[in-house]
Amino acid sequence: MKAGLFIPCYIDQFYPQVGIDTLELLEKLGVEIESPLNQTCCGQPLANSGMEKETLKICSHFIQLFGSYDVIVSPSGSCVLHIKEHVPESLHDQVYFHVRDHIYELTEFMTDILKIDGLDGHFPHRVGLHQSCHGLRGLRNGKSSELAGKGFGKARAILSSLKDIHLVELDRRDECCGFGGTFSVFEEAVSVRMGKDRIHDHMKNGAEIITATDMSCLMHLEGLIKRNHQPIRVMHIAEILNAAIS
Amino acid sequence: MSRAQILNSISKNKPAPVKLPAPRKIFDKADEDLLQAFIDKAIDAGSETENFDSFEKVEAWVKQQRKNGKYVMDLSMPAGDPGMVDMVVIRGQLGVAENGAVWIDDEDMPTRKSPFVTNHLVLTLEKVKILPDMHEAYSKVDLDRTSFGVFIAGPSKTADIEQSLVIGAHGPIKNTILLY
Amino acid sequence: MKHARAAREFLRNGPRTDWHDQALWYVRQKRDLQKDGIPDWEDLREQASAIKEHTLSNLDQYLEEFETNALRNGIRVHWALNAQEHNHMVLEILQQAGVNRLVKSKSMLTEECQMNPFLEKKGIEVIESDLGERIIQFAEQDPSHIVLPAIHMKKEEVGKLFEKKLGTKPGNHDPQYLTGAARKHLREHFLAAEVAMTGVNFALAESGGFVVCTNEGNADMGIHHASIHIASMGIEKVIPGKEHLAVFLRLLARSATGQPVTTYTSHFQRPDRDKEIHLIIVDNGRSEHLGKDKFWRALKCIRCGACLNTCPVYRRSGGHSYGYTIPGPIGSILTPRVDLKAFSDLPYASSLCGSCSDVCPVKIEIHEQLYHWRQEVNEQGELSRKKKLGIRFMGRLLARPRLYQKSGKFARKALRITPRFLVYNRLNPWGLSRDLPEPPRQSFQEWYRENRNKS
Repeated sequence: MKAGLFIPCYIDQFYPQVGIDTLELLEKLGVEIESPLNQTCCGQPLANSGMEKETLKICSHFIQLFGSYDVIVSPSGSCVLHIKEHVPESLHDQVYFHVRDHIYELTEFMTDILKIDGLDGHFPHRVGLHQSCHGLRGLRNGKSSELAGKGFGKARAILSSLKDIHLVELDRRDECCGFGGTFSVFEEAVSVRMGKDRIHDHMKNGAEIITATDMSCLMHLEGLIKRNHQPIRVMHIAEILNAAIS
Repeated sequence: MSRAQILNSISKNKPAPVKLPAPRKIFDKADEDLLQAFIDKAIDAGSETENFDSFEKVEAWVKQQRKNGKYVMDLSMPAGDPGMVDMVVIRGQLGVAENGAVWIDDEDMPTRKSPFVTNHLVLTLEKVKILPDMHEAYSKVDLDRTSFGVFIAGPSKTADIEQSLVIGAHGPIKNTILLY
Repeated sequence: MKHARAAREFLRNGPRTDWHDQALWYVRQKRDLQKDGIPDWEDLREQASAIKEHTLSNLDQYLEEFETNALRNGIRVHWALNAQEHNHMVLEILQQAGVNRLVKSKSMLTEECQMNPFLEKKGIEVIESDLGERIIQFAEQDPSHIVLPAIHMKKEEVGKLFEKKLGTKPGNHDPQYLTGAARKHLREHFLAAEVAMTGVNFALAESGGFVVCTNEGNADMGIHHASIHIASMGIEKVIPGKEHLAVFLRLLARSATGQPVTTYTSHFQRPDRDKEIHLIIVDNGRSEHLGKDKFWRALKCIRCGACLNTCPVYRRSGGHSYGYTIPGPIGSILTPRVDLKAFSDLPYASSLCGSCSDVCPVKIEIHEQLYHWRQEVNEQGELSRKKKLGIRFMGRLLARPRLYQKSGKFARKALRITPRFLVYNRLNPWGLSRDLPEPPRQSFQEWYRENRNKS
C-alpha cells in the first residue's frame, strides 16, 4: 500500500513540525509513505467563501498529484472532508473518485486502515481533546453529542491508550472553536469569543495541553492563548503521538 | 385565482417523488411498567395523580368534593361558568406513558372551554387505557369521529421569563389525574 | 457585514453574552437528556425527514386532500398567494364580523407576513396572548427566538416593563409574580375574545383537521371563547395523517424545549356549534422554493428552534443580530430566498460546525445549505468586492506551486523582520485579538526536500 501524505497549505507554511511529526509517525508505523512535491491547497478557503467554481485549477492539481497513490493521508479533517464533498462536479472522473474514496484524516487512517486501536507510548500530561467539527460531524470520526447512540471517537481512543495520559472532561465536549476559515476574520468578534470560551473550558477542567486533529482550530486557539499569555499550550495530535512513541 | 396559482406552482416545482417510509416498527415494550412510567412523566409535567381501585371509588371522591362544598362541574352537572367553579372533571379516553398526557375530546367536555378556563382540571383515566407511546395512542384515537380533541400533559405553564418555570400560565393552575 | 457588526455590539456586554449563551445552552442540554431517553431517536428523525420529503414531493395532492376533508368538516379554507393577500383576508374576516380586536397566539407565519403592523394601521387592536410574545409586544421589539421570543430579556427588564404596562409592584421581578399579573391581564382579553387567531403546527390531510401545540393554553383560551377562529398555515405544514403526526409530536417538544410533549396538543376538526373556523393556506414564496434543488429541504422545518439553541454563533450574537423574523441557522437558509441582496451576509454568520444539522429533528442539512447559499451569493454578484478580491488573489497563488512556495517563503521572512506595530493594526483583523503563528524558517516542503526527497 503506497500512501501519499497531503500537507495542507497552512501547515506547510506555518506549522511544518506537524507535517514532520505526521510523516515520522506513519513511517514508524510501517507505512510506505511519501509526500508529493508541489502541493498547494485543497481549495477550501475559496469554496467556503462562495467561490467553489474558482477552485478548478487547485483541485485538478490536487487530483493529479495524488491520483496515483493507493491511499492519501492528511493531518487535517477539514481538508479531507473538503476533497470528499466539495470538489467541483466538472472534475468528477475515475481518478477523482479513487482519491475521494481513499483519502483519510490521520486518526481515521490509523483506526480504519492500519487497524490500530492503541499505541505503545507514554505521555504524562493533562490533555484536553478539542473535537474539530469537520472531523466529527463531517467525517464522523466520533459520535457528536447531538446524536443519540453509543459514544465513540477515533482520536480519543488512540490518545487514551497512551500510558500516563490524563484526558480531561470538558463542560462542552464538542462545541466549535470558532475558527471556521474566513469566518475567523469576517465575524471576528464572535470567532474570538468562541475561541476564548473553548480555552476557558479546557483551563477550567485542568488541561495543560489542548490537542485536536485539525491545526486550524489550534492555530486560532493558540493565537488567543499567546495574546492573552495564558498558561496552556496546543499540540496537534500527530505531535503528541510521535512524541509519545519516541 | 390564488388557489390555482399556488397548486400549479407546486405541481411545477415539486421535487422528484420520495417514497413514504414504512410505518415504524413497534418496539416491544411488554415488560415496561406502563402505569409507573405514566405516573412519573405526569408528575414531571406538573400533574398530581391519585390511585383508586374502581370507578365507584372515583365517583365517591367527586361526591365527597361536592359534600365539602366544592363546586364540581362535569357532564352530569355542566351548568355554570367553568371559570368560576372549583374544578372541572372530564373523562380521559387514554393515557400515554412516554409523556404523561391524557386524551380527551369534546364529547366528554361540558363545553370546549371548560378544560382550559378552570383553575383546576381533573381527569379520570382507566389504568388499562395507558398506552406506551404516541404511535399506539394515535392508533386508538379516531379523529374522524372527533370534533375537538386535546392531549393534556399537566397544568398550564411557561418559562418565557428568563427560563424560570412557572406553573399556571393561562390555562389551569392545577391538573389532577384520577387513575382507576 | 450587518450580522457581524450587530454581533460585535452584542458581544460588547461580556457578562450579558455569557448569560444569553448559558440560557440557550441549558435548553440544548435539556433536549439532549430527552433524546438520550428515547432508544429510537435517530430512527424517528429519519422517519420524520422521510415523511416530510414524501409529503413535499406530493404537496399539491396532499393540500387538495386536506382541503376536501377540511371543507367536509365545516372548516372554511382560503388560499393566499403572498403576505399581502394573507393580511387582507384576515382583515376582511374581522371587518365582516364587525370586530376590531384580535387575540392571537404565536405564529411565525404572521410575523413573516408582517400582519400586526398591517392590522394596526387599519384600526385593529392585536393582542399577543403568548407570554413571551406579549412581553416583546409591550417592549415594541421583534422576537429574538422562534420558540422563546423574549429569551434576550432579563427578568428585571420584564419587571420594569410590566410596572409600566400592567401596574405591577415596582422592583418586583419574580417570574411567578409577573406571570400571575400577565395571566390576570390576558384573561380579560380571552373572556372577551370574539376573533382568535393561531398558527398551525400540523395540518392532517387524511382527516381534514389541524393541530396547535402550546404550553400556556393561550391558543385554546382565545379560540374557545371567541366565535371565529382564524388559523394560518404555510403550505409546507400539511402531513399525511395521524400515524405520521405521532412521529413529529414525539420529536417536536423534545427538540424545542426539552419536554416530552407540550402541555396542550389541540386537534381542531370541526367548528363548535354556531362558530366558524377559517383556515388560510399561505404560499409566500414557498412553492417556488420547492423547485430549488439544493434548498427545498428547508421546507421540512417544523419550527422547533433546536438549531438556534445549539448554534454557538446565535448564542453569542442574539436573534436580533440577524435582522429578520426567523434568526439563527434555519433563518439563514430561509431568508436569502426572501431577499438575497439584503441578507447576503447571513450564510456567512456561521463557522459551518454542523451542530444545527445534527439536532434538527427532520434532518435538514442546514450547514450544507449555508455552504450552497454562499455559492449563490457569489453567483448573484453579491459577494463583497473586498472579500472577493482578497480570496481570488489567494486562489491564484494557490493554483501555482512555484509562486505559492515563493510567496510563502517571502511572507514568512517578512513577518519575522517586520516590527509588531506594523503587523498588528486595524488592517489585520486576525490580529485584533490574536497573535499570528510564529513564522518558521522552513516550510514542510523545504524540509522534505532536504531530508527525504533526495532526488
